[in-house]
Amino acid sequence: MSLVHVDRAVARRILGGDEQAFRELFDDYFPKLYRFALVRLDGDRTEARELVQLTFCRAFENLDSFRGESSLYAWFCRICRNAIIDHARQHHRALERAPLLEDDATIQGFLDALSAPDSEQPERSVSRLQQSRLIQAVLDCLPGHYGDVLEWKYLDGLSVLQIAERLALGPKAAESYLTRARGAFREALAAVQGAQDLAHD
Amino acid sequence: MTETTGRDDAAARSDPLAEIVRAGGRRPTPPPDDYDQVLAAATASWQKAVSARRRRQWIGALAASAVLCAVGLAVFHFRPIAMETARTAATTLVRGQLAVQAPGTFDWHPLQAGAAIDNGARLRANGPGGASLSLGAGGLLRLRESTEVAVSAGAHLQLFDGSAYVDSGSRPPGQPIVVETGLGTVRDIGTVFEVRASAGALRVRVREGQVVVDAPGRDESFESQAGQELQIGSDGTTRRSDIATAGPEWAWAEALADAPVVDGKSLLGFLEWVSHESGRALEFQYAGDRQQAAAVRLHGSVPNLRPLDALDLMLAATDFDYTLSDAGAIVIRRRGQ
Repeated sequence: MSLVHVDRAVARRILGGDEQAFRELFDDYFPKLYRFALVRLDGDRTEARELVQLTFCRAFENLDSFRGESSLYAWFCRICRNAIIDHARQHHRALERAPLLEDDATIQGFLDALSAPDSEQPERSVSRLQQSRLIQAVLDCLPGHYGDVLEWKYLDGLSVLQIAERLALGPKAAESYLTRARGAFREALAAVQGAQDLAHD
Repeated sequence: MTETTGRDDAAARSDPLAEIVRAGGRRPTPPPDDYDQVLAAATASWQKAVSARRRRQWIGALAASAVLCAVGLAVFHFRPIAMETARTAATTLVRGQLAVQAPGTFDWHPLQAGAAIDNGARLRANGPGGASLSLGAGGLLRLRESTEVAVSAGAHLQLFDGSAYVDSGSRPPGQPIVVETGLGTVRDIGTVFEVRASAGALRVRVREGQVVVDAPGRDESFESQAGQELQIGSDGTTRRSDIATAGPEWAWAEALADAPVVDGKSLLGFLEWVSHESGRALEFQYAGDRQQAAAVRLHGSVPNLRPLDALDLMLAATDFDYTLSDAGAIVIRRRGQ
């Protein structure tokens, strides 16, 4: 079975001069890449901005080489990761250990950590920071507005109807979108767990 | 509404996924100044890349032209890809202005996409674009601009003026969509059709399946099949004619199609959606291409586009291409075959 990523067509639209496609991609990727860089640069906002800017410039200059073997966002992330590594080498600096999806806790681990107060287990606070970063990274990797929808629902407490309004969807469509977002999030977490299991084998 | 919200909250409290999202905390947002600065740099790089690509295409086209001239052939085929601005994909999609008049009132209020519509409410689509609605127990309704309709429970519609496009596809059997007009009542029998009502005539155009039309004061019913048009005049005259199920006459309804969900679906499923929404038959040039298309899984999403524009966009990412046959069918073939 062959696999084709629709993002290849999106890339063609952007290279064809479609400004709307360009702006949609920028608005979607900029905050995600910014966070991607920020956690890898020890929270340095200036460096994060500069390296994300470099990422966009390199990506658009080489967009015609994108073949669609992965999602376009994953391709941007690779460019960003390489830019960060180059930057660290130039400044003779050790990289902040990046919270890669495949090297952190499992779903059960998240829940276990949640049930243990920090005061009882001080070492958990570090783990919680890593978990927080990992969860945010997983949300950023979800397609479309899935990550936003899950935040609106579970952090902001928006109802399905309010989410429907934000997405300009009907209530049923919004409910279906939320269901798909939950499914995608669950699958992503399961993939993290699977990757960790493999690493431990 | 309160009940739904209450259930939502209770479900969210006991949901492990909700706990995990909360444990992640709010994702940091980049400062607006950084956004502006990076956008300016990214835009410059993008524009440079677009210009470079156009230059390469232009040079390539010149070279190709020279070769063709040398052999005495000059065949150019230029098909612009119409990229319509992306629209929201919605159960209720409003492209122009949609106003609602609640039952028993006289005031009209603007209606946004996503709003619930009360039983018996009257809707008026103004301005260019029209609107799309989902019906309670399944089925889709699209309203052309300058259309006025009342929507009642049981998918009973009263079309006062203008054009309505009905797709009863997902509706359970035995629950037809009924469109009532001053000159006749149209009942679907698993179908896609358009009804246009005006002071002087009722026109029913059937794209798929079959409808039955009952005219007031007449004992007989009129059946109309896919590819047929039935007109009933205010003087009682009826006229039948054959029509195309695809083409510019249907463009207004196609423009209101919801974006299909393609992520994880097969290319064949997407092609069948295009076929349904464009009213065109789907054919494969070579035996085996259908199976090949069924084996291709799509990832990502497509924006709201007219069906054939979405097809252009999607096939650009695959090894498949298409042509339109003389009969208007979509003929799929592998590139290079």
